Amino acid sequence: MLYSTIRFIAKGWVYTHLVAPKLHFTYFGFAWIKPLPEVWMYGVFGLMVLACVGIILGCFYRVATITFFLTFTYTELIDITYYLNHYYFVSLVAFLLIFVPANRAFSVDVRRKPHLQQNEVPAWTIGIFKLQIAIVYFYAGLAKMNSEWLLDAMPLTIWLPAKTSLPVIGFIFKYKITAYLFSWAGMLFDTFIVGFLLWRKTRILAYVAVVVFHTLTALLFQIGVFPLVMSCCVLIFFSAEFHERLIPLGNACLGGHYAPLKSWRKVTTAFLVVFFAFQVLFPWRYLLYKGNLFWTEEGYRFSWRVMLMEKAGTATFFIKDTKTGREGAVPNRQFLNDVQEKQMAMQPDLILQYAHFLKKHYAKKGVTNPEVRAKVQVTLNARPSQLLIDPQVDLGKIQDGWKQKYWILKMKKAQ
Amino acid sequence: MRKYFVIMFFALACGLSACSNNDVAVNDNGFDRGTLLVNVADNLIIPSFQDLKAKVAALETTSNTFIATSDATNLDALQSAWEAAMTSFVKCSPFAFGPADLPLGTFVEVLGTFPISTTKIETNINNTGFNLSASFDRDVRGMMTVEYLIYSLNGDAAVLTNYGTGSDNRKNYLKTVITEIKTNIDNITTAWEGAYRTTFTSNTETSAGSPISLLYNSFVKDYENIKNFKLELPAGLQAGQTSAEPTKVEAYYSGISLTLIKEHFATTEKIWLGTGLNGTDGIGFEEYLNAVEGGAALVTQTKAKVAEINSAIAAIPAGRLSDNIGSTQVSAAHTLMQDNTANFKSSMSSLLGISITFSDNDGD
Repeated sequence: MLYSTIRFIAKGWVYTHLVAPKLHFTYFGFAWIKPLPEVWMYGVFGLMVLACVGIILGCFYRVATITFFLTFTYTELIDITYYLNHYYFVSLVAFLLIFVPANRAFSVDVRRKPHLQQNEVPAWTIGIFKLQIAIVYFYAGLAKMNSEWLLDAMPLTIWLPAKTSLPVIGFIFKYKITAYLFSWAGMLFDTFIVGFLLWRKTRILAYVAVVVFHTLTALLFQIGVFPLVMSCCVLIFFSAEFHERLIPLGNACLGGHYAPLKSWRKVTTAFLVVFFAFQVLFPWRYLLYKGNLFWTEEGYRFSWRVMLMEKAGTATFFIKDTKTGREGAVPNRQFLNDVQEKQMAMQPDLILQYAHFLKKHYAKKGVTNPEVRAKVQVTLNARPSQLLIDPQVDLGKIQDGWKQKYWILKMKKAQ
Repeated sequence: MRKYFVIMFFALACGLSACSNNDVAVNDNGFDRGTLLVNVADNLIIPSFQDLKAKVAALETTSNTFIATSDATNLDALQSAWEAAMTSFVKCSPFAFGPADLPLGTFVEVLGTFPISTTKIETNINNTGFNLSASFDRDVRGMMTVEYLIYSLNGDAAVLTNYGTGSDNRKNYLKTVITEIKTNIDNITTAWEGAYRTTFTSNTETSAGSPISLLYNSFVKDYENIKNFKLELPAGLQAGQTSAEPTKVEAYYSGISLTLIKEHFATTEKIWLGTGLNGTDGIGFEEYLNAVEGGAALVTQTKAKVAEINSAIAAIPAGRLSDNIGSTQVSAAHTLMQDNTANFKSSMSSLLGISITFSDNDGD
């Protein structure tokens, strides 16, 4: 994560993503989270770097984990258009790290206060990470069990042919069968990999599969540091002896045990149960909504639906002065950067947020009680573009919520 | 166990693809992006910049003649040279990347901004210490500033009175602005004739920053610029506007706005079709789309829309666009261009798997 944070700063994303935009798309219920002025924003990132170093060295561990969790999650919550499943994963893991004693060996903290040294930890402190990783893979596998992924090999049929220029293996991507192979392999891998990792006999093979899988995805798609993150996290499935062999200085002296205060233990347990129950149940909320999940995206996020569809839209907004009846088009580039525009144009809840922003903006500019309409043409998995939402509805009058969005049009079946 | 799994999975995968009615082995995804890049570079981009370079050189020569002898004949020649250069300029406009992406913005932003600020320009002319290269203002330089300096809504006589005795500052300003245009266009052309052509044609990736992504994104942005700045804004069709603003048309003083729009959109069409500057059809986005899943339908749809746009633009009354900017024909052409945006923008990038942002970014 140290690498990732420095990469984010080095690429100038602090400015382009968080400081420069005129508006930010917020998470439902988190609209109160606002970006800080530029200098402070760099301060937050600086703090994040320090916290990373602290965690790696095991130095002021608890303070470092809490700081990292807060700063990282804060920067993620500023703008929903940068939502990535792996950022969500990092936030969750950072949160879990707060509770475990990962600073009790090979750490600066031990050097500072030798009595903290301990070489055994309760099984739960490792178990929770295994469970966390299991949830990620298993739900990602479940999400791939849909007819478009398995029967039409979508969206890989679109994505792979664009990669024929890769050296050595590039040529295989022009064959349609490759897309089918990759689709099925991906689904089976995600669903069963944790099982193979847990079973000692297949563990090494399974880990090789993990590395191969993530290396391939890293080569094929622009997914930043995610493959590296997962490849490393999965190492937790290996035994303690294995890890110590990796460290030449490792000494396997046993002794000492970790005994949290009884009262704390109860609170922690309750907390973790809620934490995981939420993760297990929340992804299923999509069942409560009518319509095609990929089309409406009602209940799509926070569900480990990773690289599941090729979707893109073009959204034109119209502002009408209700007094003069004059209507004009909105130049999106004036308000949004490329990433924001792209993400907004296919996700109904973001379209609504943007509409509300526009209503306020143009009311301030002297348009009387502005009416906001949008013509949004969206293509999903190579289908011809069609209207996503009702172009006649005044979006300014609609409030966001958990209820079914009736203004989303039904997706027409392909001819 | 594992072996069994692998075998089962292969069997499944093969079985499934066999029963889908699409061709099993090779679908025609073997499209070679390299041929598209070579065709567009050699037959469209490089000849267009070479033409612009020649036209700008002629602009400089005629301008020097006019500065030496400011009479009606020389003004006439200068105006013709400017019209030719400006027409060539819009034909290069979609290629605002690579060497055409200058330190202070793309060459279109730096040298083609309109409307210009007449107030700022006049102030600069009167300020003997003014240094254009130290100024960041886009509305005091470029092709449209030249236009303002050599045309007048009150006729050529009004222009000539500005170049009488004591007009050295104005003459110098004209010269400096043209020199800046020439230096930049010369550099861009030289780069394309040399190393950048190799850079552009040798990389066939589709990721952010790759040649095909640069070309595609610049193509889309340029198309949206025609729609937003050459039609929508002057016609008063943008949100918050209360009336048309005819002075915001491109080439307001010379009045060749409509010609420029026609030439500009014709270039958009050429890129999409893969047609060269000389009109010979080659490999373009059309062929690329026809080679991918769902592409043929989009090609048909786009061609129909483009034909509609062409007839809508042809229907705009001749003469100064600023006089007809409020006409129903202008708003009809604008609406059609708006409808077509999805064809060029989201549908096309989605089917081709081209990265739509200019910078690379994390994804999942």
